[in-house]
Amino acid sequence: MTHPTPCSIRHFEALAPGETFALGTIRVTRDMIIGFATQFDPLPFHLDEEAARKSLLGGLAASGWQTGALSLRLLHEGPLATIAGLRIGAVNGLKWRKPVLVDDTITGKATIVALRPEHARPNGIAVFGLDIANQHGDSVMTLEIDIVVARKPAASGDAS
Amino acid sequence: MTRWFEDVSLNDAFPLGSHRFTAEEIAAFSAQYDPFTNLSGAAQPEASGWHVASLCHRYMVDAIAAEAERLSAAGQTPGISGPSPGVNRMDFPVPVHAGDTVAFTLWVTAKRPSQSLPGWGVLTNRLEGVNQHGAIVYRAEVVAFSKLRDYRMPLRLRLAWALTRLPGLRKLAHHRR
Repeated sequence: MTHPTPCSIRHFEALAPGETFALGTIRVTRDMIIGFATQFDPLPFHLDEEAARKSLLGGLAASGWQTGALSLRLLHEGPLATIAGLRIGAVNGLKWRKPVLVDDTITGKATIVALRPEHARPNGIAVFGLDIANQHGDSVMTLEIDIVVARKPAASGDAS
Repeated sequence: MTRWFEDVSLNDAFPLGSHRFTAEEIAAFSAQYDPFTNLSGAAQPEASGWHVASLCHRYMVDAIAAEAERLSAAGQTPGISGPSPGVNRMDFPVPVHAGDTVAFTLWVTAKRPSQSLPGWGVLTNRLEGVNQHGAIVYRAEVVAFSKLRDYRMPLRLRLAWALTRLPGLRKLAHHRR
């Protein structure tokens, strides 16, 4: 059987440490903030403007888990679109540095900071450093995320 | 935590509840945030680790709200939780598939007064999700703020705080930054 992934998909062997990717942008609306918070983080400062103003966040702000989820989407629309990624393995040193407020636009940068074999399994791990910033250039979240990446399949049984 | 910082006990297990993952919710979350193609060949769709972590957070928020209600009903004033500054580490040793049931548990493993936020304490929360076969599918160490009950703001700080509430001065401070 022919391997289903197109030639343009990069396997673990094709990745290099230090590679940097500029990410796209997402405007975070009030509806998005309340929608995510209703499902995953129904605390007053993610749902209610008045409560948010009185809180440490200073205004209606996205759940940090939403900022993380949206940065994953940026990663998929960016580098992961052409990498044979399988799943998230781990996250380390995540810092929510500033609140993401209504109508902020987030973007950022992803860097491959390390490559290593997956423990006791056949795949590889690509460690991406993410720095997510708002429209003012202020960093709102930084983290390191381990993405499990498939190795190049063996040539046997592959006609091409 | 819904307890005041002073009342938080270390290393007690707080069961947060169990969640049965449906194929529909896994597909909805993956499509929106974490659309890995299912290259691993599993028969059932695999949940994004971020989905598992976000749901665990939801169960924690609900448990905190229930505890606050219980304390209020008993005539006590519940403590106040703040936003989280970060996650030290989390990992997903075993994938979660549609049909799996995951039980979440919280332990507070450390607490200290905050250096940067007067009046608040910093808690280290250990979270774990275990599936119906007893395998750990999620574990995390999350940092959280919890308000101090017995805190009185020093006069110097109260003055500084009041000054930042004056709109003109606030703008000035913002410009100077």
